[in-house]
Amino acid sequence: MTAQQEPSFDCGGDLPVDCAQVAVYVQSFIDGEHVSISIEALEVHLDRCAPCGLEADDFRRLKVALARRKSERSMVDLLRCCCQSILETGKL
Amino acid sequence: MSTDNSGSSPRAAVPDDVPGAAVSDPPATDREGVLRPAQTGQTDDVSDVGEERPHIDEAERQRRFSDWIVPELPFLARVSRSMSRTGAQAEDLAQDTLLKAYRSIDRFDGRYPRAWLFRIARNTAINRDRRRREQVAMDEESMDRVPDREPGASDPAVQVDDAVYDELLENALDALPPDFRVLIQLVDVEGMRYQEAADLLDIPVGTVMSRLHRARRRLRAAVAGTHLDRSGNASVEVGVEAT
Ligand SMILES: [Zn+2]
Repeated sequence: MTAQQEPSFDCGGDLPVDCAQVAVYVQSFIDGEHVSISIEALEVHLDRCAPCGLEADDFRRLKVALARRKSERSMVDLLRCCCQSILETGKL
Repeated sequence: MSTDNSGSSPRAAVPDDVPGAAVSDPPATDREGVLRPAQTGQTDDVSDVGEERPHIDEAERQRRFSDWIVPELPFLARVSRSMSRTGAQAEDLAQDTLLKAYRSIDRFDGRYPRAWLFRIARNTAINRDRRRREQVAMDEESMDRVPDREPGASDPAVQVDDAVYDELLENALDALPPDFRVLIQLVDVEGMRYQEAADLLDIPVGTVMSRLHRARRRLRAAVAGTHLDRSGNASVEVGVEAT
């Protein structure tokens, strides 16, 4: 249940959860999985702590880009049909 | 998309989005070019006036297309997606690009098909977006309103940015250890819950989480820097653990 990495920053503020806890739970949070700390506290932290917030943004972008790969696979199948048509008739 | 003058007289078909160079640039130059925003404005410099176009017959055209272009379909799908807002737009862009590539393949020497395809797709996307903007502007004008930039209209620099991101991501995925890659595939690509992935792989949920976490940190490190300039945030902290 623990993530291995140490956070490389600590906002040190008076936020309800600290950066180390965020580092442990941010992935599950982004995945919509259960997290055993307060979601609200996590959101407040990501909102106010720039390093953690930017890191979470990076992981969200990564997830979006990865999810896109699924639709790209079916697109490749479609494009194969197009190529077939182009090779046989010279048009789409 | 006009489909006139297709197979019968390919020499007459000079698509306006196809780079005119008979010899393609090496990838380093191309990537540099790709990343240089000023170049993304090139849209109409693609005629091949004065260029020698070696005649090739239909069989040769088909052979080149099959050998050079068809293997790059996954790449074309990725870049088209990154240059489009919707799946339908991406499909149109990729199909237009394929047709243009087929018709102008007599002007291509076969070196670096990715770079060549990328430039056709990019020019096609730029023209598509410009046409759409003009259409929106005309519509707005006729409605006597000040035309705004179309919401979500893709900026060429952002398109290139996304295409670079996707390529870096592709390479980083290939470099992941198989145990990590399969989890990324199941959870991020296929959209499985942690528990489903754990059951399928017969490993504890905690292992799913830790592997996923480490895999994503590696991927994030690999793509870092492709989009940070946009937000103006300089530092790229990449937490890659020794695993
Ligand atoms: Zn923090």
